[in-house]
Amino acid sequence: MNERAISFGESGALFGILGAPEIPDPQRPAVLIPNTGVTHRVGPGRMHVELARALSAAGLVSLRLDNAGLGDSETVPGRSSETAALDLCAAMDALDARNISSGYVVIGSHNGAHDAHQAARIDPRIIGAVFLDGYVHSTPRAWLNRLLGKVGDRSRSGDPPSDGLYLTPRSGDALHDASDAEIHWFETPTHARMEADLVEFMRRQLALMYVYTGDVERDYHYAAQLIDAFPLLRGYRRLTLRHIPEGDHRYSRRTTREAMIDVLVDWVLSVNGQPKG
Amino acid sequence: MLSEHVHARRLLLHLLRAARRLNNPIYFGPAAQPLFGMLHRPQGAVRQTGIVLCTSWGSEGLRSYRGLRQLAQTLSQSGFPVLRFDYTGTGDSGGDGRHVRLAQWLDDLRQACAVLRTETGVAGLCLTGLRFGALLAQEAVASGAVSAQAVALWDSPPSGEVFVANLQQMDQALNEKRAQQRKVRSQMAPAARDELLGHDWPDGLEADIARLPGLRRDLPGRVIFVSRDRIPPDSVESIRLPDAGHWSDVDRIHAPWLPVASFRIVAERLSDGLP
Repeated sequence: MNERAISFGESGALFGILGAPEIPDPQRPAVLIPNTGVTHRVGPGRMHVELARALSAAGLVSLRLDNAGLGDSETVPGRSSETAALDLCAAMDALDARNISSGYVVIGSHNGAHDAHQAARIDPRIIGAVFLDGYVHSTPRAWLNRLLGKVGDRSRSGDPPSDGLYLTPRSGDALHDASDAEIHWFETPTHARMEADLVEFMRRQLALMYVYTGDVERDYHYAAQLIDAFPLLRGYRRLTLRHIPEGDHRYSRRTTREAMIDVLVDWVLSVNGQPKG
Repeated sequence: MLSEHVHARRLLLHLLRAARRLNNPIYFGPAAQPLFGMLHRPQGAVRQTGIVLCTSWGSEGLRSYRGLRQLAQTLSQSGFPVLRFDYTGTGDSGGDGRHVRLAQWLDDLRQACAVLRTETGVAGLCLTGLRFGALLAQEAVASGAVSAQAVALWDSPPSGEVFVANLQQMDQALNEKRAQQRKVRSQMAPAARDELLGHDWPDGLEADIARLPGLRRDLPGRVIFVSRDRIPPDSVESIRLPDAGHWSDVDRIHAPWLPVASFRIVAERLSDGLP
């Protein structure tokens, strides 16, 4: 275990755990893992720790970070969930200063996926991103599935609450006693905005991985929904799409979690190349 | 107007830097499997008592991470050196959670106390345990693994057996909720025997925790019960809080525990009673 706590960002307000192999390869990308929900940097069920240690065993550097106001990072006035991507940029600055890698991959789950997307938009150092239960855009088939599902499954009590799809719009005592459902979601970009972002990502040859679990099944209905929503992705060689209906966004079953970690490590190892601005 | 803004920003950055200097991450214990902790340096007049915060287990530990940080900062502002840490196989510490036993965590707590003494030179200790952490703190003092002048037991379960039963009920309720919400084709696989609420839960650990007694009458030093509604009627010392913990509410199982008003009350009361 070769891990080190680091402070970074303006005035060292942000906090993270840097994991590194014995001999880091600067030609490999470093992996950034932002918070999932309000859980601190260890991730739900300690998934981020297990992932970081698996990455390290595979020869990869990683940084598990706490966004401003979460875990051991200070609350930074002016920062909100909508600006959390800036925390990822600060993390890249910190790792650049250590000459650790030549590019970055962000692995984000839920609001972490939102952070990964927003960071990829604004920072060309990112060469790959994984979005676990991130943005979902509907399609005619998804709409039909949803309608048929409602007709055929009246025994169930409406849509489930959006368990866990949360951000931290508030901090301190305002968060106490808030149930999951009361902590609001991130805002999904419009279809046009998302499409424009994807065009840019493809121009930059970003490696993209989208994973959808059963926790978002009320919105993500079938494996190829992402491709149907954005046909420009069809044939994009740097796209990986996975649908895990039996999974949940917290990867609370060890078998699912370990399998996903294996997939993620292999995928990151396959990502190479310098950033293309 | 602009200069005011610049001045305010400089002040803010200064405060952030100061806050960072006062919170020191620390690794201790065996090099192959180190424990991770966060040492909160005291502010103002330094007290002779150091406080070790003992976190709860699994999902409760995640819920309360930020809250315990805030509690530690509030206590350090009152002059107490404070240490938070992760047990072996949990959080940022080393180790595999599938193989942990209670004896290991008791030894972790012993090492944490030794580190706090060494790093800060405090003469005495107060263990403040939340939920499972309260049971662990009690056991550590009762068994002689740790010598402490006081233990503060925050929302302590009546016994280890009750704590385990509560976790199992929460797990069952969560699984039923998920099964109800999901389509037939996307039901989750059953959890393995050694996992609970998405966390490692080895058989041996369950048995160890279930054997932990409730209130020990044989504890040396002061015992302070801290809760809104879980204070035994025969307790000698207690701190009644305005906030509930919602530890049995499945809808809040991932919701943050941040009872800021309670933190202030606990810090004030401990400051009154500890040197």
